[in-house]
Amino acid sequence: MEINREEVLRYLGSAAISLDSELEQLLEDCIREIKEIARPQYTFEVCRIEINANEVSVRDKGLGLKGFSLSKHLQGAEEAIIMAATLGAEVDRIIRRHQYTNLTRTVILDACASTAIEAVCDEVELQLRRSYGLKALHLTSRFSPGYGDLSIAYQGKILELLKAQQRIGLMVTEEGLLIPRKSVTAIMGITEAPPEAGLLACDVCGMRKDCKMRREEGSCGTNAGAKG
Amino acid sequence: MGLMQELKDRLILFDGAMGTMLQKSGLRLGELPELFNIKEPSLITDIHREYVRAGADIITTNTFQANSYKLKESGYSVETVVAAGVKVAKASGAKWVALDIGPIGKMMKPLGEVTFHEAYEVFKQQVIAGAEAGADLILIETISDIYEARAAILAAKENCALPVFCTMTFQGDGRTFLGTDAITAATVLQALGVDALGINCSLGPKELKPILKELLKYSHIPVLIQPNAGLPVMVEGNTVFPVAAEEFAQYAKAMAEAGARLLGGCCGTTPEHISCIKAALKDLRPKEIAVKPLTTVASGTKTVVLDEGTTIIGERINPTGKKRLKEALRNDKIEVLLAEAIEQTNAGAEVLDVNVGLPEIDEVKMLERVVQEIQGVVDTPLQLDTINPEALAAAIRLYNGKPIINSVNGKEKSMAEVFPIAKKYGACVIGLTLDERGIPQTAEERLEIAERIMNRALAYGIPKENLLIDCLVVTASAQQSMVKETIRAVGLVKERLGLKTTLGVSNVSFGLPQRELINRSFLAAVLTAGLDAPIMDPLSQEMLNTIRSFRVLYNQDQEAKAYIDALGGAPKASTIALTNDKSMEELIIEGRKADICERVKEMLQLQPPLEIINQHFIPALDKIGRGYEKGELYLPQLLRSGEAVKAGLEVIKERALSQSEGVEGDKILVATVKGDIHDIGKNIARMLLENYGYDVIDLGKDVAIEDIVAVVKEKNIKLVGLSALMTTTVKNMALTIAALQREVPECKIMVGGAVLNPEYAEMIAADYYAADGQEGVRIANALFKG
Repeated sequence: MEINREEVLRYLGSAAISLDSELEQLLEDCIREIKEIARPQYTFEVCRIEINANEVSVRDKGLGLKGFSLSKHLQGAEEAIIMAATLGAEVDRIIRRHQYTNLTRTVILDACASTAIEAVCDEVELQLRRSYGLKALHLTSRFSPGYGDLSIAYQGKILELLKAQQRIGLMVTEEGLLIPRKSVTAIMGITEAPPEAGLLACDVCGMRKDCKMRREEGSCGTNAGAKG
Repeated sequence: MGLMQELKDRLILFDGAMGTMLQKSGLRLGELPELFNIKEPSLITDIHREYVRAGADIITTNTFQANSYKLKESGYSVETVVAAGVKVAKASGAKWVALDIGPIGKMMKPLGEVTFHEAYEVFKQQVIAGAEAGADLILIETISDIYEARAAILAAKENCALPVFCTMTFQGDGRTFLGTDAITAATVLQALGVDALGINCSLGPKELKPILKELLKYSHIPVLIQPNAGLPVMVEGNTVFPVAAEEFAQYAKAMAEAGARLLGGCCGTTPEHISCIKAALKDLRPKEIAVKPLTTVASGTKTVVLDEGTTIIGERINPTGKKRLKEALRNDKIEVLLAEAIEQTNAGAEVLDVNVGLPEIDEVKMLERVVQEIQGVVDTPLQLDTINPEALAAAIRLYNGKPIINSVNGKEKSMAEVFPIAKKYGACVIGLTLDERGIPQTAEERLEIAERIMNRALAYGIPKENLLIDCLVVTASAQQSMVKETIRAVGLVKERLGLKTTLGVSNVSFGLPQRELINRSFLAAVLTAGLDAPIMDPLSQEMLNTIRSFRVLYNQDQEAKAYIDALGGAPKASTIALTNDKSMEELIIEGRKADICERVKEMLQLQPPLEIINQHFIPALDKIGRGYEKGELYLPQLLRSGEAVKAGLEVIKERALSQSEGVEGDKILVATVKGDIHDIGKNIARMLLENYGYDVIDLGKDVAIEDIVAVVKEKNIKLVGLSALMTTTVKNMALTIAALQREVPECKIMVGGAVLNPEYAEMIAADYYAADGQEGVRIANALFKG
């Protein structure tokens, strides 16, 4: 798992501001600390899906995911990969611990961890892309609950489908928040034709109007609306 | 013969997987398999019966998820499903039936949302239903969070008389998902008095071997092992567990030879696996348990072994003689105590003493709360320091681990109050060598009291290794002749009774100049006499260095590694000399905490505190705030300056406290709304507001609506800041606002958080929208000062 410094800075503001040597050092320390304490784990299932205009149903699993945006995103796919990944509980603990003695460090650690979980997902996605590429199949980009009109209330069902508690220690609160916090669930369609230059996550993000990152950089890479 | 009796004489066999067998039966999965106890009872009985035929002594009920959370939408009650599960298991002809209890499926606080009491109630319901239906034992299994195991074990032990077994699930790195390692599992589970403990699921027998070995090293009670049939592999889209029955049985045999007394299988194992184990174990007798007694204390993820060398117990969380802590406790500023816990841990404290006794506060509630908060931020084991048995009982119940109780003494009343609690929770306990007649003059008399305490502890069933003796320090200025008696007494207790010793070393110097010199000389003397665990200030470098050097001299610190790491580098040059010519504003912008504190101390000689705040702090903060808003500074830069000012303000406040001059600001309440547990943003807002002189009451995260309303009323608060970070919790924010406007219409409300914007804020009827903490400050200034 690599943590890209520029990505971390984008979470913290804009990568264009210069840092003094002490903050530079702190940033390095935080990247190292997150790498040390993270226990990245992931799991996925390949599922048959059926796409209707406003619902994707996962056959054999009794799960229906309502919303237009996911249907659009998975267009042309008959199967999908449903995945979950997490950095584990220790990251939550350490971020929490620093809040009481060092807020500066806390926000940097938090940004490093957000960058790290995306990096973990990217790695998983890349591996999957490679192995499907060998079969001349393509994958759409990752789509998570909270993107577009796909409700985060589905987190619980997705975790159940993946047996995520047992496999990677991932749980969800009543309000649809993943615990440990630095975790992601996502769906990728498997298609025979290359997917259309996939939607940028921003286009379907509930936060697009107020998102600072989008104004400056084009995308946050995650999707703030899905943060919760 | 009963199970526990037979367990002494022979190896006992558990069954294998239920889920794997259900899949094989071709039933459509998707709904909870526990419901098959009712819908397909004969199918479940058949599976159990296959395991009985294979030779399993204990059959595990199909009730893993039969708890009120998981069954919520099933249309069946916990009682019905559990009773049916026990019934179909008994119908198999099993020798013994274990009521199976798995994790709730929700994360516990502080990382998640379930409280200890809620978890306890969930498990209690399962236990009572299972015991009534005729289960022979309780099996709590596949647990990753030892705090959850604790709730389940207490629920089992307090609501039935059956044996209680508990297994935890470890990952390849030897820890559970929540970070518990084998020694901590063994320490904490045994403290709670389970009848057997062990490991199940997640890994195959090969991968579990080293973890089992570690667990056996610390277990005085029977150990249970139920591996998966290897690590799962994908075969044509299906998950397959590859270790076949024969091979599995060979591993099981090796595990029995290593010391496991109860064996079975988890995911992927079948009746065939069990019958092969049965055959493999045929001529094997259980290995004798010969584990050395150790004095251990633990948090949920960390165990400290006092036999391994000098153990530092941090003394700083104690309001006695500390105005700042007294203030914090009176005003509910728990974060001050948390910072003390973290700083002591960082400095090298291995156990933290926690004392919150103040006459004017409710110690029962406060100790309970502080213990939960502290164990949420550090993994250092705690020492519960109270003379109030009620506070002790409340706090120890919620403590995640095996604590030290500070303290019991030689008085009959004290022993009758404290020992039952120490026994029930398996805690270590400190015995003070005083009794109805006070502190004896001589070492011999103190030894006598120590012996009496020890004998009473043994009579209560508390093992010797869980008892520490404090021979009591007197001040050298008042009772000079008695100091050396303390030193002698430590030696006598160690030598004659073989007990561990502890001592609060800092009091000896009271009333003398150069206190640290006396303290560290005394510390060196008592360490030499045999002191195991000094209670001291780990932030004192002098004291810490005495410990470091002692550890080298007494061969605890191998090759002086820790000593060299701490003290071997070049002395760090003081930066103060270089920053003398910098203005306060520059110091704040660069975030130089230490320099700012020094500068403030100097300035306080000449200027009133308010002048420093208004002429130096606020303008600098304003400037940095503007830079941040313009996008010229990163959030960490804003925070670094904010934290530096906060440190400066602490210096001012401390002086104000010592001179009893108030610097009270206007009150603002902040909270993250119910259901939401993001709080970094709220904490940033709090710090910025405090730096601008506001008295911020922080109710934390996931705060109930009625709690917010109650505090606003009670403290007559004029401005409330609410934070919500998720689309799903904004509705709770709206409800909180509605309640506040109904009950206290004069109070203004500002809102912030990632999912909000000005329109949204208006829609939920907030008075103000704050895009960030800096804007919160502007809103507060306009309201109170505008």
